[in-house]
Amino acid sequence: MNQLIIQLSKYLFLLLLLFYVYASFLSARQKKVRSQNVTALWQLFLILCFQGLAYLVIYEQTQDMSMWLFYGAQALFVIAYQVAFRLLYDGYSRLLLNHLCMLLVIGLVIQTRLNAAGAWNQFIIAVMAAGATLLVPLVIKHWVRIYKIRWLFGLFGIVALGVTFLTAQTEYGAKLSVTIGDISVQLTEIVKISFVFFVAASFQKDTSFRQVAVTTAVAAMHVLVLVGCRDLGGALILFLSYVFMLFVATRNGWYFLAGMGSGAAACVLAYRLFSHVRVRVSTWLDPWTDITDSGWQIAQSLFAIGAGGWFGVGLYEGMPESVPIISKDFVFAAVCEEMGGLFAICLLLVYLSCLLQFLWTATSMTETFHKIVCFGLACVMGVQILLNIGGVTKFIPMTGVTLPLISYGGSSVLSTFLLFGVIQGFILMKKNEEKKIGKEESSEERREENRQESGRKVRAGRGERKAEKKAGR
Amino acid sequence: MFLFAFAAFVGYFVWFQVRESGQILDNTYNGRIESLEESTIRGQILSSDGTILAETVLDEEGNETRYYPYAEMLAHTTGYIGRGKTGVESLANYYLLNSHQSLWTQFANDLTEEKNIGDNVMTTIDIDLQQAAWDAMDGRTGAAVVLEASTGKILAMVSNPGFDPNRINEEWDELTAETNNDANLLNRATQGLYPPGSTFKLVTLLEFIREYPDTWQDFTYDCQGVNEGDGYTIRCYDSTAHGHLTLEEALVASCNGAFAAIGQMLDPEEFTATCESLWFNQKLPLGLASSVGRFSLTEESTAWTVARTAIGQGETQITPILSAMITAAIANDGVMMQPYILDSVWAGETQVESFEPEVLGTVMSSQEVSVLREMMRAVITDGTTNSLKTDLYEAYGKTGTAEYITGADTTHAWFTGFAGEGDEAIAVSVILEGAGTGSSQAAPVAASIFESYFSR
Repeated sequence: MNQLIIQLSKYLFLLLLLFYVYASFLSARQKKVRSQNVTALWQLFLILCFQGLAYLVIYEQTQDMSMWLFYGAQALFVIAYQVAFRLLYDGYSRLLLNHLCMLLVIGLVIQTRLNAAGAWNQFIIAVMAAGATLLVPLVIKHWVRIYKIRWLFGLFGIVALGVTFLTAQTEYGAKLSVTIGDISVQLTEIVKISFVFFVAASFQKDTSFRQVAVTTAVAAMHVLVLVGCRDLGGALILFLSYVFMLFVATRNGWYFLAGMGSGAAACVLAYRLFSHVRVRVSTWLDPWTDITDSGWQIAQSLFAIGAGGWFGVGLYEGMPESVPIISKDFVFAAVCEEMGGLFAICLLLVYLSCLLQFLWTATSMTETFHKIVCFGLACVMGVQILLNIGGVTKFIPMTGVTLPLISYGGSSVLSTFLLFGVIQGFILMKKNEEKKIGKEESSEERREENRQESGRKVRAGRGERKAEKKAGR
Repeated sequence: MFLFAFAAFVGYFVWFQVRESGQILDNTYNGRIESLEESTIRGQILSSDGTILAETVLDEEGNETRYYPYAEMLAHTTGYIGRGKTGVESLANYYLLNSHQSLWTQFANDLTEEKNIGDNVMTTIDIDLQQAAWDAMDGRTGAAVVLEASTGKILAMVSNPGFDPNRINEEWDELTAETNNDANLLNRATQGLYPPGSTFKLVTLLEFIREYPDTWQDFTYDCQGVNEGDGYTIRCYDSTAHGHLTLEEALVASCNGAFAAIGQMLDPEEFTATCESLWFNQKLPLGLASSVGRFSLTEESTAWTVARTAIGQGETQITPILSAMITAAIANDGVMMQPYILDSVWAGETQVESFEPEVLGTVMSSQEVSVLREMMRAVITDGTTNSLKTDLYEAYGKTGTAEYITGADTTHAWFTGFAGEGDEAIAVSVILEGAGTGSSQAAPVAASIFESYFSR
């Protein structure tokens, strides 16, 4: 019976996630909000099924009663978080909220399998992060002019990275986290978001050459400090996101080409200058000749992925612990081994659905700042995911970044919650605008005269503002 | 852009899972292979016509034993499992443990806790030819290798003394005892290092015509039985005086004096370069355990060393398979093929994977090949290897009688040669340790192999 559950479970996991992904893309095509909500409810049901099944298998494999306690806490959390959103907000994206929960649940299942004590930590941090970021959408929704404090964002980024550079201990060859008391924090995770806010706020002001030059200089400082910390992945994420944001804000192809060109030149320079970059590249090209040393990690990762095949070997049936740092940067290898290649692809589709949602939000926003923030956050997350899974599978050289919500690490969880919170805030903001327009439209007949009048006022107002601008120049 | 990047990644991922992972997983540093053994019944090893060379049999209680029907005859080729793994058992370990049964069957097996059936591996071994080689060796210490010249397929491989892979556990202590000097576990065909003796004169000859492309025909030598050169003395076999010799006659008579003289005319660096292009001093890309053939000659080498090297004595050492590779290259118009033993992988009647011949390089020009062929043919027609004078096939070759203890009378008997044309051609190298002369001992073994092959 036990064996039956365990062997059947890997196919069920895949099936549940397949349904879940199908529901995501179905909901994107549904026009009515009502049917979207029904789909979202189904998704929530699938999440809870997945969670329940996972902990059934985990219990069967470990025979540890405390796992049921852990399961209960997690299920309660997912439900409570969903209910809190329902009570607090109206018009948030249920799809995104579900994705956040699904990714978190998958992450916690994998972390439990790899190291149960670590998973508890991760869970507690997730609960705190959820609590701390619960009101972020509200703040974003109402603080329309958050871009006014752009220098604060810029300053925070530089200071946080500077502190990391000066005080962080080197681990795995890079300076990543600052230790405050007993807690170590990866400030770079939060800086990714403040950086996007800074850049977007700058381009909200204007996109003159001077503005671009100043913003680029600050962005370059961010990237250079990260290179100084040897956090190549972080540097690459910020760099690529910046180039994309610059292009979208200015619509100037030359900026894009110049950015990509200088990026390529910087890569070549880094390859020449830093031995650790050369090691990364050589183990990417050929991990096998130095398999006992520098190639060990990537080789073990490929063994894990290959061993998993399409359907995986089943939870607890593989040997993911043979891969160093499996719970952090290499967690994707563990997913592939025990849950299977198809499951991993479905997981990517969930991420992709998130990114599409971000980008779609970006296009629907009216204000440049909001557009660029949405787009920038999508870039940050997209680049990070690609760098992670690409590195683990030897698609590209290893850069040492985490997989959002799946990898072990509190700062990463917090920053991802924050990121989702910001996007939800924008979605609420847009819903709010739509509602206002909707109200205006419904009252159209009754207040025909008023409308014309106010229309004239708006036009007049615009004219005034234009005049002001001209005068200012 | 993101969609594109994700699509590229998924494409790579699928490619990795489908094409790459098979080769990657078969690695001694992968701890998972051992765990595969618990869930899979090891597949069969087959000869090229599908004869079973190794299979796992289950007794009534479900205990598995590995059974090798040909026991000693193919011991080094199939290898063994239980005390580590060797031979094809090691080389094809991943395929034997991987199952390409239908997903449905694997799923059902998962549920019922039945083991999956591993894939079968077909080798290039020609079982009839193997039998012929085994019979011809007749238990004598040494090795024989047969390669298909146009592809590099290993058609037969014998190494004596061997062992019974069915009883590897029972006989292990005896086989590995310090008092056992027979080296039963060593695959002499690929790992045995021997002085090549006169068979190496082919390489010296190649280098000579390469360095003197216009004047080599003019070479003559007067053999008195002993060549007392400047700083060296080289005797011909039994100190026979061969008299006035052309280059071809020198090879047919295997005149040591003549080749010692040729050796003095060669450029040591170029000679070394030629040998290295023939895969001396390099690890063979074989997959099976193999030793590296050795050749060393420098500007500082003494005349004595040069003379001995030119006749295949001295520091030079060769494995039987390397000898066969060089001969096969002559048969294959100068193109050296990579020897290989895994032909294909099968899940029942379905082919899962097949391995193609690979070219190692063109190591001789057509002109060099035609000169070597002509002279190797003369060795058979005009020399003393009566066993190879037949109308059934046209053999080309060179014998060798290699001293391995300086001054002693005991010698290794060598023969390397080929027969047949084009795709038909096979190359054979035979060594019999301490057996006497090449023409009387080793050549007849090759003759039996050729006869078996060409009388079909």
